[in-house]
Amino acid sequence: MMARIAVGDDAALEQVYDQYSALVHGIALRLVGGDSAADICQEVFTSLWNSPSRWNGERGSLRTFLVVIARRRCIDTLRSAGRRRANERRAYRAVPVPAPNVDEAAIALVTGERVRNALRRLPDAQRRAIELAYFEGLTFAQVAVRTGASEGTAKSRIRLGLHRLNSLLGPSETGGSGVKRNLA
Amino acid sequence: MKRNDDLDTAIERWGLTPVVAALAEGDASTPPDEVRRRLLGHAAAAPPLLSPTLSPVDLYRARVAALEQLLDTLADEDWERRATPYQWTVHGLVAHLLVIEQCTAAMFGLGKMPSGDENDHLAVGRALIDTELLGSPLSTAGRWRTAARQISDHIGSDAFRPNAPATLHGWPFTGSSLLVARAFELWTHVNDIARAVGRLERPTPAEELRTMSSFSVATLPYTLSLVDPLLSFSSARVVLTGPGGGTFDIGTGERTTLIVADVVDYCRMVARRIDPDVLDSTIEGDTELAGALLRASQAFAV
Repeated sequence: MMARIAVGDDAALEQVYDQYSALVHGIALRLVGGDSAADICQEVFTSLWNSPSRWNGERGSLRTFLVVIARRRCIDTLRSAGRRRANERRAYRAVPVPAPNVDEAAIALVTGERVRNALRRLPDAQRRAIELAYFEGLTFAQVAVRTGASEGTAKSRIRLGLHRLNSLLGPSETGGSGVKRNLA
Repeated sequence: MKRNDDLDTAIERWGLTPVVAALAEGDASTPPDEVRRRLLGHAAAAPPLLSPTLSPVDLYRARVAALEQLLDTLADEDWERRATPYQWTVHGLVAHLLVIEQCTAAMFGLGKMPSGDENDHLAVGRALIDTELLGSPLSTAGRWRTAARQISDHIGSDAFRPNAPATLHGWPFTGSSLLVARAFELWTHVNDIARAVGRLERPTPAEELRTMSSFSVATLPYTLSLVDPLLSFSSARVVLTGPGGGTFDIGTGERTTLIVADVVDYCRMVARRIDPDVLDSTIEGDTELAGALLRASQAFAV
């Protein structure tokens, strides 16, 4: 599909958008809220159209690439606007809405539930550190301050927690060694 | 801004990016409809910059140069290797090209058409080919080079009429389209000779592939009407991927079929080096029409 986008096939862009827009928009909604989420969603797919070669299929799935790009844009937005504190409060209020495609919606709901279950099985300190870093976009130093730990400890908790999540989610989500669900 | 103190930077080092992507799954949320509309509006208004096309004159000259370079490197024994899919050796294939350059020159008013059935691409000039095979391959190559340079000089002069009719083998070309068709033939035979002598085929510059493939796709409605005149055709999209590729909408009206293939594979198929049935392609919509279009793409090749 990306090879088609690279040669200007807008129908391919449409298919990719339909497949992944809910995922990208959901990330933005959680991190920056509704005001900017739609803009960020559009920016992510516009950049995919304008610079398709930025995605390298050997380095990961298109899904993962889009998630990473969306998060980076969200965090840049948060930091540049100085809106972190407001959005930290907003983060946990964001309510997931099913994706438009039925299959995608089902996958998202099932996977989302699996991820939440896996998160619940982490030690509290690891889960809290991941939540702050992932869902609120805090830096390691900020996670350290919020949790009363050193920065090294905060970072270590996040890394160990993610490795644990990788194991807990298992092959059905991870394609064997970790989370790797390549729908691209 | 370069960051080194947050999750998004660290996860790549840790090899855990997919885990973080999975964390997003539970938040899927449909964006407003206007996002889709704006995105597709942008895509339509700002298509990606693709490789430019060459002029037919530059394309022909580039392909002549590519064949010259290859022939200059052949060893004595290479000239006697069989140049599949023909019965000819490499020497015979170059003699055939000499004949076709003479046919092309004749269409431009630069000489006489070789003897034989001029509507039969392989039969025309058979006597000349037989004569050339009695002599030295290097002499044949020299004569081909002279013939090709005569054409190169002519098409760079004011005497060349790019839009004037230039019928070759019964096909109603113009001067320009004849040059593109000839360039396609030269590209095909460079690859034939490279294979025959065990060389790796050199990558074709993107602008040359784009010029040849654009020409081929643009002629599909016409060749389809010849190959399958009863087949109803309204519109199709052909997407050729890779450097030199592009997205082409042909015909008018509602699009009924989509063909996606690699641009080099497509060009090989057009040249009858790949069968349409085994072309690595994606087809959506009217598969009968797609198959007919692929077969029609080979109309100019023999």
